[in-house]
Amino acid sequence: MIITRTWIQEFIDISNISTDDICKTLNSIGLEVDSVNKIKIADNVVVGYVSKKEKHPDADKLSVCQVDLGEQSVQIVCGAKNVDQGQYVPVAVVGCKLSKDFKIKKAKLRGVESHGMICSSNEIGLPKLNDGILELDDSIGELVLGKELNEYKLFNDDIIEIELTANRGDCLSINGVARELSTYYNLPFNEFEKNLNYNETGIGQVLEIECDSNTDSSLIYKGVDFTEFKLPILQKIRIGAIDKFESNDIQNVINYVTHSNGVLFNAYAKHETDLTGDLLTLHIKKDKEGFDSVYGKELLSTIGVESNKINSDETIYIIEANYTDPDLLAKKIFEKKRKAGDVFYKSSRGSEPHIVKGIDFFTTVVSSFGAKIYKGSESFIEDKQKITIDINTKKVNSIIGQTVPKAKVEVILKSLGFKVKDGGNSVLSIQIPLYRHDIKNIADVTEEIVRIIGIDNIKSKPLVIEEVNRINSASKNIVKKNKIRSKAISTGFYETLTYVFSSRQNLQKYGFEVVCEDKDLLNPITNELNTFRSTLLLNLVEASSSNFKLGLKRVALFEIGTVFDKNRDESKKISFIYSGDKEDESFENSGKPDELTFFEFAKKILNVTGQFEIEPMESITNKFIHPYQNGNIILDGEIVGYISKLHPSIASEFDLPNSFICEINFDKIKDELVVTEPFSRFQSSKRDLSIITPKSIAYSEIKNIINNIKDKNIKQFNLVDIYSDEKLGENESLTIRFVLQKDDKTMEESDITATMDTILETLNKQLGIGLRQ
Amino acid sequence: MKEWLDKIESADSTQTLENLRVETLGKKGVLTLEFSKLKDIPNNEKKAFAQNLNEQKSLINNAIEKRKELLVQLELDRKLETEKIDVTKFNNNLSCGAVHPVMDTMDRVITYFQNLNFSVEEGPLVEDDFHNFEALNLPKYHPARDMQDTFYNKDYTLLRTHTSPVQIRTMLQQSAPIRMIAPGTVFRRDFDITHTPMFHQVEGLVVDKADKISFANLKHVLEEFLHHMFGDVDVRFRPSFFPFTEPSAEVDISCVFCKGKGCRVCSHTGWLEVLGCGIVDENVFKAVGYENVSGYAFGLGIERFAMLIHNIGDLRSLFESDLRLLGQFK
Repeated sequence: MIITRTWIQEFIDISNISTDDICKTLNSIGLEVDSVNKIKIADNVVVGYVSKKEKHPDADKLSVCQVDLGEQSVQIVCGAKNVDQGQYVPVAVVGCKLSKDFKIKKAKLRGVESHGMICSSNEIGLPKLNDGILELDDSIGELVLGKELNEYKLFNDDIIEIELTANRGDCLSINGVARELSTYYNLPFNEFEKNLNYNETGIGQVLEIECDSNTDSSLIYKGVDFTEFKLPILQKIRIGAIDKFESNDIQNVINYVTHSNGVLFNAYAKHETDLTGDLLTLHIKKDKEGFDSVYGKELLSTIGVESNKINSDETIYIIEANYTDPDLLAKKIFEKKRKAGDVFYKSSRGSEPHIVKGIDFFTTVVSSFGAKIYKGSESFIEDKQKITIDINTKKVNSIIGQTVPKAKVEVILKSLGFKVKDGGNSVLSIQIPLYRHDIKNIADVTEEIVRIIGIDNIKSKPLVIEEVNRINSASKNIVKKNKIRSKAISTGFYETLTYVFSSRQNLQKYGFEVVCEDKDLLNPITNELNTFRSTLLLNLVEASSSNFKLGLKRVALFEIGTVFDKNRDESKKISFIYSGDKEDESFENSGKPDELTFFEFAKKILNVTGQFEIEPMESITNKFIHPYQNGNIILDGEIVGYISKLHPSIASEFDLPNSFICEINFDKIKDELVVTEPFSRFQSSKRDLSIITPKSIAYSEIKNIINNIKDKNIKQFNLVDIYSDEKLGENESLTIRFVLQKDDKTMEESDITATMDTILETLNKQLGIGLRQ
Repeated sequence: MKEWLDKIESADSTQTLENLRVETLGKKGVLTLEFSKLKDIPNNEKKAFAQNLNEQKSLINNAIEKRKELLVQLELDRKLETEKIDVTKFNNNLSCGAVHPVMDTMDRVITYFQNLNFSVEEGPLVEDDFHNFEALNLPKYHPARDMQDTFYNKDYTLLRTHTSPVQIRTMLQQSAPIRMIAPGTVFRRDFDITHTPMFHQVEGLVVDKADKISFANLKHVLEEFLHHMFGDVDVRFRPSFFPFTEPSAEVDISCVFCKGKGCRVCSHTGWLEVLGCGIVDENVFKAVGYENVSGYAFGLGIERFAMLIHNIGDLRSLFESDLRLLGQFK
């Protein structure tokens, strides 16, 4: 919603209030100011009169004009088509600076001298109206030749754009905003005086309206003869300022009046009506979907939904002012899934219901611009009952949290147009004006009070609460998540945040699950984001790739986020990617760090999530997985995720170096309190065992067998060497280092030997493997 | 004697010193040999001779010990010197990762409200019309639905456009008093310089007995919160409209970049809009079957907070995983 200072001035006298102050007020009463544009025409743009216009001798498109500037007369070469003898025009004289780098100088145009420039509206900083020069008229004040345009107050206007909330249809007009300001500043509201320029003929003689009895809208019709009508420049500029300027001035004046007083209008040209002789007939009835519609020869408009377009040179019009209950209209539009035109924005938010006053204002305005009005009118006005509600001011005060005296509440409501009656005690009985269809209950009324007293004037008060233990699964989850995040970060991974959307095509291409077709997104924003992600890894691979394109040598990312399975059920995953070098380039590695290995990557993940086992995957589920460097992540015997080298062909598709990926079901990661076990205070011993084993036996088998011995003296063991050579062929030598310790005494050599012998025997018995010879 | 002491004094290594010890006090050392003469000394001189020798022995011993201590120190120094490094060669580039600014800001907001005894509640991303709109006093035909361009699914569910449905879910599961925040991911079908199709909000809701919760309480909690997040800023409340609250307000802080003087970020207004809030609308309570209660609610966009706090210019960059940005949060 755009208002201008001079336009508001027509309704209330704001000459003593600064624009900054008005903006502050608008903000504080809930009409948010979006922008302020103060128009000031440059110095040395003056009123001129084109006393003579001749064709340029050497250029078809140029005219040579003699322009009277009062004290002097100058010759100006002008390129505008619409320049003409007898026009008052804005002239930028020599020396005028129209903008920072546009100074008017004496010039020769195709050999003819030119002393200045005749300007268009936007060349002097006003809204753009037409393609040619701006023709001035005395709607801005008396035209004095040579007078600076910026001395005309109406030109130096401040244009304020307000971002209106959806409930405030009543402020979609200058009148509505002025009403709010008059309440705040306690200023009298100027009512216009009805003053019509009548035509000889009465409306009954030219107009017939056939209206069905079941219409929902209120309608008034009047005939107007626009033959002598001329829209002044001031109104044109204002329509330009609200960005509604069109080539037809009847359309322009309709836009002007609607913006002024909030009433919606339609204009029906004579030839569009159901014309019989001189009788213009309109038929008003419901269309197939039940919307009030106006028919002439054919459908002309649907009230509140689609306006009639004016596109002829016709001068005789039937003007209609209309109003429809916004809730009714909005509901119906939704139910019928009807596409509505621009007018619906206003009609669904509530246009001005007082259409009698509206049509009077319209006819008064066009009368003053030369139109003639046919006497009489046809109206179909539904008597809408005004709603009255009782409010308890004590309740109002408890919502606000401070006392606003009953008398003050009464004053505020009255000035906003409510009729207020004292209902005794703390009760006020208030009648709501029709234009405030958004006010329905005590909370709405309280909001009016809050707006006008100003929220800044409400004193903050802390709430006294009863203490409650509010720890729940969500807060526990946050604690767990934050622990894991901080471990991931100290392990070198960057936290990322990517869209939960993905490309269905890409997910399928790489073999990931997709949400079933009938539960997928209906209105995706782009093709790349046309479905739900079932993995975080595609996003992470893309993110790593884009970082490598910037020249990085090492990228480690993780994300904890929601993914969706084929039933679109949500779950949380934590996923990692590590691409490239294992450390920074430095003198310590002579600038050539090694690439990370699978085991180094797995160790990093382990340090983030806590203990898990890795078992080879039985089946490879997607194309990101490397066929020979992959594993399921096992926690308490359950598969909770997987880890893999990124398949080299995927890496190369994304221009990535060796990369590793891991995705784990986040909810399966544990965050439990530690329960300690007693630990031995006796000396421990270390023993290495080198065994020859076929490469086909997974180390996990050996590990399981040793674990199953359940010798509590074996405190720890791990693989410290792997050796293979030609001689060993399909076998390899594994050296396992054991840490042995007794809980109740120092281990003796005989104990150690016994344990080691048992290990060896068991391995031999179960796997047929033994010591290296 | 003097000669030996001088030699000891000038010994330049522990080895030389050891040699000198052997030469003087060793089995065949000069002094040891002197001692062996003792047996030939007449008895009456023996005592004096022995005393003299002992004194000399102790002189030499002391001199050797003293010198040795010095030389050991010197040799350690020399050895340490070979270990000398140029510590300024230290590469102080951090090799850890970093927390994402949006998540970090979210954490700060959550922690703040947890400290005020708010619970944290969660809800699904895929919602239905009831929880996301209807129950929040947004009937299907309401013009305010225009404000929220919604992603729909083919089965008539939708992606939540705000975290407010978590309010509804919580109220349907629990009874008053309620004191909760709902942090989470939300979606709007909008993608340009200032909009991403996914972003994050934190929603707050407090419900208690009728007439207990007032706008003044809401003002207090938000003023304190904004001072916690942004430091010494002015806070301004503007009446506004949300279907689920009445009265409603938008909350601005004085621009953190120009301190309210007016700059590009605040569109030369001096103010930055950071929050929406209000007194919970009766229709919302009706939808969840609450009676005789009062409450306030507020909601804020985490990305907006993160951008203002960390001076991030482009919203979309928060979702691009670009380490040139994320690397600055180490």
